[in-house]
Amino acid sequence: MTQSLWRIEVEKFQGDPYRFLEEAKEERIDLCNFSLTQIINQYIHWLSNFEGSIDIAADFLLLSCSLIFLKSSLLLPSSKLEKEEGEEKERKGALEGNTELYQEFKQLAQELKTKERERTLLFTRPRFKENGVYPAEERKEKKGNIETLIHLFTQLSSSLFSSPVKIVRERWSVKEKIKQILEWLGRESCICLKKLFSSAEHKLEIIAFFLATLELIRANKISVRQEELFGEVYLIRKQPEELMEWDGEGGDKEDN
Amino acid sequence: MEKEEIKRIIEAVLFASDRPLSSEELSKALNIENKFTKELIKELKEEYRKENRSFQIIEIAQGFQVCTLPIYASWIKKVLRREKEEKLSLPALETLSIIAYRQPVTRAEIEAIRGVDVGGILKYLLERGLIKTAGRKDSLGKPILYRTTSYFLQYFGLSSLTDLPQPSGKIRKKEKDEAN
Repeated sequence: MTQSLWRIEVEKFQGDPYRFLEEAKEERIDLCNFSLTQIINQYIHWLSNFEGSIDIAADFLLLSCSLIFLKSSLLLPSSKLEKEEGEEKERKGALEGNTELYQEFKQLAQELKTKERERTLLFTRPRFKENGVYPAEERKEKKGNIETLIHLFTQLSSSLFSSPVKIVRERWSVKEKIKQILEWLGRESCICLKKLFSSAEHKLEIIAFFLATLELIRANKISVRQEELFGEVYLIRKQPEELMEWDGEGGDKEDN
Repeated sequence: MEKEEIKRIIEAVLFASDRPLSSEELSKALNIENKFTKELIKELKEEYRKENRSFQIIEIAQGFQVCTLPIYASWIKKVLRREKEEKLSLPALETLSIIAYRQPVTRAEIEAIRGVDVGGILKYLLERGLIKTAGRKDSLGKPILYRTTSYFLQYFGLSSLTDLPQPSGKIRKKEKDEAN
């Protein structure tokens, strides 16, 4: 991750943000002379056009936060007592120590990644599915007996039946919706699916409409057309003379 | 039983096994000395190498397992189309490396180093079977401790934890402090 995609472009510094952080930490450059707003704005601008891995973007976010923290710790102590200044320095030291430690772990993570890649080149006999990914010894630890099973079941069943089950009344049937669509198509040459859905007053009614549409397509009564990807879907009737004779076979009451 | 026969038995068992087998396990089943088992495995390894076989015996997760040579990987992938295991993301690898070098470790200790929440990553690593809980720390709040599993060693092709890449600087220093 040392190779960065985002570059800082300000008057006094150009280049790798990691280097900038490094310099700031070592106090080789004075953060007070830099406008962090400008730098962060550049980051945000870069981010809005960025289409890569979220990990990379997040890394820079962490970096930006570190910069802000460093600058704030530079600005704040001047208004505080000496003792607090010492504490501040200690805290800054602890943060830097942690960052250093974290960098080392990052390095190790990279080495583990290499190992991971090397390992994918070695093929062994595949594990049986029922074994899962857990090695046998670790699964053995979770022992159970019939008593605990019964106990768990009684617990579960009491919690299952105690809460009331809400039953929604079935007010719309697929059969009725098929009739409605056909009637509609009798009046107009085509209907927009979106319009059909927007006429519904409940989620279940939309489902009924949808199932009715599918049923009509299956029965070869209508055809559907979509002009472009993700565009509007239009229902178009096929045989106008047969429309009203539809008896809706297979139009079961929909049951959510 | 003759030496050659025992060697072939070990070969057969290793060939059929879908997990690494420790030399102790093999010795116990065959009723022979552990040292002898190791010697026979070494001979088998040598045989494969001399005969230019396409497979080898590797030491992994404190055991032995038969696997193919890396140079045939592309062919195996082409023909067998194994279910691809999802590779670990960088944050997951970082968290895992902290656990590997600092184990047993609490969530708070990992977060102190990484500076961000690792709850989701820990859950994911637990699901993948790469880490496991290892009791609770005897400190305020009794936080849960995490450890790497033997599957972790298998996943990275390590024979034991001492096989991990050598840390430098601060990590090493801390380890020494703890040892003293």
